Amino acid sequence: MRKVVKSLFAVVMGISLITGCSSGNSSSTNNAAQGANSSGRTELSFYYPVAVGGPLTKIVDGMAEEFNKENPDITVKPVYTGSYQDTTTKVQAAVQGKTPPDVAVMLSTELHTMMDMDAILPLDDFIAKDGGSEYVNDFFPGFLANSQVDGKTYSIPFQRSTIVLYYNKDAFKEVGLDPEKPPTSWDELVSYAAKLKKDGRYGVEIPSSSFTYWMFQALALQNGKNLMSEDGKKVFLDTPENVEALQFWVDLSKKHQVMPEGVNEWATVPSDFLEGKTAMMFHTTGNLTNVKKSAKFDFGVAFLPAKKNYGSPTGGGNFYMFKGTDEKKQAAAWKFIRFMTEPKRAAQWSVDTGYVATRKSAYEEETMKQYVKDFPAAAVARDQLEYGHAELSTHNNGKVTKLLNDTLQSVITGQSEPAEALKKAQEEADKMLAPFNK
Amino acid sequence: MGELRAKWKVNMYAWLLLLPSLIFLLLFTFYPVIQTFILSFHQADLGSPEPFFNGIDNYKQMVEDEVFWKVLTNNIWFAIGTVPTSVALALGMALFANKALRGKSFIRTAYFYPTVVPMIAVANIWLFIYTPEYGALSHVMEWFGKGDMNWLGDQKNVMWAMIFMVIWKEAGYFMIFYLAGLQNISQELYESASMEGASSWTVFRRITFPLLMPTTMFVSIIAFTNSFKLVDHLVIMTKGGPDNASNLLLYYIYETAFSFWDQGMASALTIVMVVLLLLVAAFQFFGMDKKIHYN
Amino acid sequence: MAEVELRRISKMYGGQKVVNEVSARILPGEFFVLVGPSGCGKSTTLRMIAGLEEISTGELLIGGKPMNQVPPSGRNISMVFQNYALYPHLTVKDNILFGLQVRKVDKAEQGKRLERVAEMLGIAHLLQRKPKELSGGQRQRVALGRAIVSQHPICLMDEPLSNLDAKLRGHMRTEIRRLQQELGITMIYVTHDQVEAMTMADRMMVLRDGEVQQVGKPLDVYNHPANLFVAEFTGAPPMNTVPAIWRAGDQAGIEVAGQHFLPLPMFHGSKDQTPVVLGLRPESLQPALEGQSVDASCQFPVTVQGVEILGSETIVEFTVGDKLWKAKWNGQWHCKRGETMHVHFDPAQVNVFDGETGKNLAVTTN
Repeated sequence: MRKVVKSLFAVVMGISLITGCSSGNSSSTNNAAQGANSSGRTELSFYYPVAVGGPLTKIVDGMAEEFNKENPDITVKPVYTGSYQDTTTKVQAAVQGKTPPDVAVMLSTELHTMMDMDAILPLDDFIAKDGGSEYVNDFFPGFLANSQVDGKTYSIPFQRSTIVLYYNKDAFKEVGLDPEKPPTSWDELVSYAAKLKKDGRYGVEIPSSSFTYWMFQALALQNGKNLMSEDGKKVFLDTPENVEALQFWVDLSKKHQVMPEGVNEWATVPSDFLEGKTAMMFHTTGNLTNVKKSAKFDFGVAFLPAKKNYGSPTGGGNFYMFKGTDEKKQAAAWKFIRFMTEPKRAAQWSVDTGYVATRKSAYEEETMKQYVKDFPAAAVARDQLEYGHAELSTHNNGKVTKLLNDTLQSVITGQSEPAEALKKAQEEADKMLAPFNK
Repeated sequence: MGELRAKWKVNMYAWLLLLPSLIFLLLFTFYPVIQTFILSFHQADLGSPEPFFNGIDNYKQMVEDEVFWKVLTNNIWFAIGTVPTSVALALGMALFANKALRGKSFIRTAYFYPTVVPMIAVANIWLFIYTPEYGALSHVMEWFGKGDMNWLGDQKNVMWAMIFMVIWKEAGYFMIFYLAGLQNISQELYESASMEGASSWTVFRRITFPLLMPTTMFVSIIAFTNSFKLVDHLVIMTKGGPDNASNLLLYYIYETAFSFWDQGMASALTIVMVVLLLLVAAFQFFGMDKKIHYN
Repeated sequence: MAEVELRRISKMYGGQKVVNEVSARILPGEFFVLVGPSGCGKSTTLRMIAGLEEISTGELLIGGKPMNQVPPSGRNISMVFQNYALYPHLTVKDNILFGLQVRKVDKAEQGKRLERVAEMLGIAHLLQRKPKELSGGQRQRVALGRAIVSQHPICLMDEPLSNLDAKLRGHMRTEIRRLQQELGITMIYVTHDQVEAMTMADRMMVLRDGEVQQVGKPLDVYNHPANLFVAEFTGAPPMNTVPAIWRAGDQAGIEVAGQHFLPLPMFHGSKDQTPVVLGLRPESLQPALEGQSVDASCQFPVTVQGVEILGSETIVEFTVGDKLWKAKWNGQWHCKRGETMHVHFDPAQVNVFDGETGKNLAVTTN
């Protein structure tokens, strides 16, 4: 009998060790989330993703440290949470576990999803208390478009990008094109690309994996209007303009043969450009720093060519705040967001990372002026923002986006025809959005 | 009376020893499976703030979902493409690595190394290999005048590209099991066979292969479950595209759960996958086990 | 046809010679045993005959034909392995028939042979079983059956009895011998057990460190060991030995550790003061009973150190010089430890070995 008791004791000890460990873990995370501790200091947890190359975690951590120095009563604890997708997943898990982060950077397109989860706070009260709309109106409207629903603002733009046209000036010279005159219309794009094409080099590449819908959005915007309503409850996929836009995309490879057939990988398109395998490409401004560093030839950056008008969707991440945190911490979090988006910091962030500075006043900062002077391409993205629009963001966003991506890829790979495919996609999307239109 | 107590003591002791692993099993396997099972009968997506019971609606919807059938078919082809080939290749490699006199350890390492590399890294390597125009494979294909083959961007090629990569990745791992299996076969058996003048093919067919059957069975199960479990490469290489041509069941579950936030459907899909794997494991264990010799 | 001849066969592993110029001629129908302690090269020699090891130098002839380059299957040889080498996944029947199937022997013929072998070995009722369902002795029989069914005129066995218990071993010894004689096959048999060698062999070869020590009929080897090693290897208990000094001259004899002097006038040839080793088999030492008339020179007193009474015989231990000697006497002797006794021996059974080379000097007996 004593033996049994003894072994029981051993087993219980073993289990308590295990549970001891796990409870230790959870209590430490609780502390971080709980914030206000006995000394009156407010602790904030801050989730952020990294989506581009470079030592971004160091820069973010450094900014948080600076904030902590300026605000001795607040301690921001930055938590690197992987990719955008991972960050959303982690935030979602934290929200369900009733321990949401105090502030987080997530894709601007998560807006409707986060609202459907009832996870995020509208920021209007903070804005009103903090000098009113002047602050918000300083952001480029193209960036702010993904933050606002029904007149309310839910997120603040932070690391933002847009699509621009990169072109190889040396290649332009080589075929007798003026390197200072990039194509401004779809027709020019086709004719230039045809001239630039030769053995081993394509005229232009538009990536068609990962962010297929984003590229399509650009073409759609240039041919008329955006793909969704502002409240994210409706999409307009099968309009004749959109069919025309998609046909144009397909024709670039099938008819004009200036673009490789099949799906062009998001990540390899910039490599193709740098290797001289394509003379022009559509890509994110997030790649500006990379291309600048790696290009062994003279390159230019231009507006995406227009059909009816210029147009490009924005992209990237915004600051969000979450329900279920106490007021003191919400105030501190707002303070932190304001700090991170101050014009001089927005300017420095843009210079350091290649993201587009989100505020007009940032371009008045000395650092930014100098940067633009040395590297005029940086200004192109800003100037194009005049034609910038919200990125595709709807209710049931994940499903709708995937549906559109799949449809586009099926057309691009020649499995279906534009009109028919978009019509089918429209029907499916309507079904997906039906619950939100009740 | 005393006997009963002694019996109770032994039983008690056994249960105590099992307790820790049992607790973990309950906590991290059975409980989640049951939860998932329950959730699969609920509508729990972005459109419904509070999950509610909806019977077998999720399963009905699944049957009507083209993408579901597509990923399931894909997965079956993926399994058919990877399992027999990687197992056969592993066996071949093990036989060769076992026989090679010179550079034995080099050969083993060379065969094994793809296994050590994380799937994410492997995917990045092969992403480069499969790049059209200047990828490593394209350089080879150029000799045949097919340098511009778009391996990942074409619905017809992408599955083959994935299958090939996974075979490359997995065969070395399975080879290790076969090497261990070969070590377990007594040298005397081969010597005895050589006294009889049996050809190497006869020796393989009548001795080596039957005696390796336990290994083959074990490896096949691993390979098969892996063909349902391995999806890391999709994240890096294709995101399931183009148009779901390379999408697999588990990645679709991931998309449904963490991109569509449709937890009810994701649960239903998970249950389908669990049942599928259980069926196959049961078939392999109970159906084939009888024909296998264990020492 | 079934004659095996080894001509100065050697085996090198790297720079090491594990078998050194072994020569022997094994006659058809002979039971030839290779015996020696582990590592003596006996198994390697057997494996070279089988063709499982390459012959480094030397020549192997079977039936007068050189065999060095012939693969194992072409040598007309069957082999029984130490661990039987039964295929664990095959039934007894398939195990026995494996070789015939490989050789594509006619099905009817296979059946006939199987039946005969099964009957001969008494394993007919086991044919459908797998090896793991058999006892050690039954497996041994199946292994034998596999060798017999091939009908090769030569059979090699590598320590076939070492996995059996003592009683079964004794039984199988007789059985293997019987089969060999009935079938008239040439047997080359490897063992480390000198009892097996003594009881089974027509002739035996004693090996040590790859060198042949002696080849001969078991009794010749026993009675006239070629050297100290063979003397101490054979017999149970083995031959008693002790370092001694040879004294020549009128009173020729052997002086043991300054204590005993055994006059051995009939030995000749060695120089005075030569270091030698004296050897006597346990059964050569008999008690000198009072009233017996024994030559006093062939008798010496001993102090009993220990006694083992085995029933039919008694083993008495005592020290001679610094060595423990054993004497084997018929019957039951109730001696006491510390008791002084006189033992005597027959001078004809004395073995004298060279102190340095260990060679038996008895060859110079008149």
